Amino acid sequence: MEKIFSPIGEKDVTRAIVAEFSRQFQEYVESDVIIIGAGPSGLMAGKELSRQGYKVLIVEQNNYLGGGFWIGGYLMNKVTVRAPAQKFLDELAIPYTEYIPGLYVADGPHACSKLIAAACDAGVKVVNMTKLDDLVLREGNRVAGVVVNWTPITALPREITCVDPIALVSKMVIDSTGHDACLVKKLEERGLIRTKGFGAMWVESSEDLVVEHTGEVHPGLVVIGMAVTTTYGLPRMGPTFGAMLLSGKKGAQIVHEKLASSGH
Amino acid sequence: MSKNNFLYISTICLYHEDARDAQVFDLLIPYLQNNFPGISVEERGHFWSVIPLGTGQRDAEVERIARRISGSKVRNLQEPVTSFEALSGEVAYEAKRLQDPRIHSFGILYDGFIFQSILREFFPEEDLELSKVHIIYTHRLLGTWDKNECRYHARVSIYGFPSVLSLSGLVEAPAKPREYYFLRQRIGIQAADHLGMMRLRENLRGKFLVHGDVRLPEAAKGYALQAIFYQLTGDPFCSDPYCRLYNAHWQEELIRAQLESPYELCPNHQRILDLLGRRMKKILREEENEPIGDGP
Repeated sequence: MEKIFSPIGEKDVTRAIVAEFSRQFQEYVESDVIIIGAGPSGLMAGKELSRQGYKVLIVEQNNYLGGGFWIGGYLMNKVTVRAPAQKFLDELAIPYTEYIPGLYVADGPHACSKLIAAACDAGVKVVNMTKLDDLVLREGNRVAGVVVNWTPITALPREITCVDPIALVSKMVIDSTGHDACLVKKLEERGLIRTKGFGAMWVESSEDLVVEHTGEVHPGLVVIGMAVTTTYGLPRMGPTFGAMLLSGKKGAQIVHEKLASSGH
Repeated sequence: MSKNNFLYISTICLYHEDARDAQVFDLLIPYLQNNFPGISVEERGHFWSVIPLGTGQRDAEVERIARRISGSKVRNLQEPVTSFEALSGEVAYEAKRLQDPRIHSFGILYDGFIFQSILREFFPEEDLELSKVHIIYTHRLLGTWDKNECRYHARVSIYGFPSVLSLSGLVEAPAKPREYYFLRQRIGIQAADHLGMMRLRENLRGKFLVHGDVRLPEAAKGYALQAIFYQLTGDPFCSDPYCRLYNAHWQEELIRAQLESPYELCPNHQRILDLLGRRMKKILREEENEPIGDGP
């Protein structure tokens, strides 16, 4: 009986994985933009920058990409966006319905997988299961990269692992780590910035606030998505995906302007 | 009859900080003209465009004001605002907001008295008269520090010179019905998602004001009256729950006093308003009879 699959041995499979991972990893030790966090804002920023020809690496601590974009509130997998963010759903060919005028509902898995695919199609490369350990700082404390390690290593006690992290460098870095704002917190640990925590939680907040505050928070570091709320002490928000997508897009535009003005 | 006597105002000056808040004035101006005959009601437009922002150094002046406003943000509800170096992104946001009245975002809590003091310094000398009531409508959410409870409370209004009225405050400051908090707690923090909030509002339809509510301009009328009474008498409030001057702590109370009351003012405050009207008429008659020029 004829075999369905070609007769490839285990060692070839292993070599293929190691060689291709190494090749790509070596290539992306230096990139134009490193994005930490593959939630909706990070994926949107990555897609936009890759489309413009930038070499973009997304670092994600989990195995899966998409962050909270798979599900809406209360574990229900419907995601909502308010006008005008539905134009991003159109752009990504994500089906949706208009629930009431100005409010649109899409299937979380469909929306999230399309966004991931769009980012990958645009040319974004991803290292997942990789966690931020520290920042690379250059002259004038400009952020010029990140220090990372495998997520499972960081989960183990240091006395067991003793595995040093490695550095990846880039012209700009984006913090899209959600409410944790991990990169901004690293700056805070070094006394270079003081974050504000969260604003009043009982208050309804405008989605505009996140988009309006999206931008360069420190030389070399742009903050987008929910990380913006932690950085500037804005009210903690629920799954407001329209703001996340718009913030990602604005963050990409700011990075593009910075890189273009510095001759990249 | 002297203009310096108790109960005299000549002009009510209205400003807005956000372009959309100007809609409030469509209802408010005729309302005030009707209640205060003989008193000039002036719509002065966008506050930051009316007040000169320096000459030749506008950008630096805008940044200076933006930095001061950033410094009035409440960072911690359990601590009074103290000196805090603003992040460049915060200053940039405030600077943009000062120059673009279309920016309408809300959710940040500012210390109301610090914000009011920032506004105060931009009044030209000719407007620094107690006969002029200056009322600034904003979408910023304002709070005041409660020394007894050691926490900030959101407020609809900060009365004084000038008086600042927050349209976001109309929604956020008076407490919503208890069921709102119970339901929101049951749904959890994720209640900030649109569908969850919509369901919540649907369940409690009409029992509290929401952002963009068509009832906001009507509700805002009474707070303008409170600002004027504060300047006239030193007390903006009334204990009658149906009077426009009632200091509502709950949305239910706000709706009753501002939207559902069978009368505008309680008999006592209506008498003060009528007295003011009579005095104004008398002052106007005296002015008409005054000889023109420097006299013989």
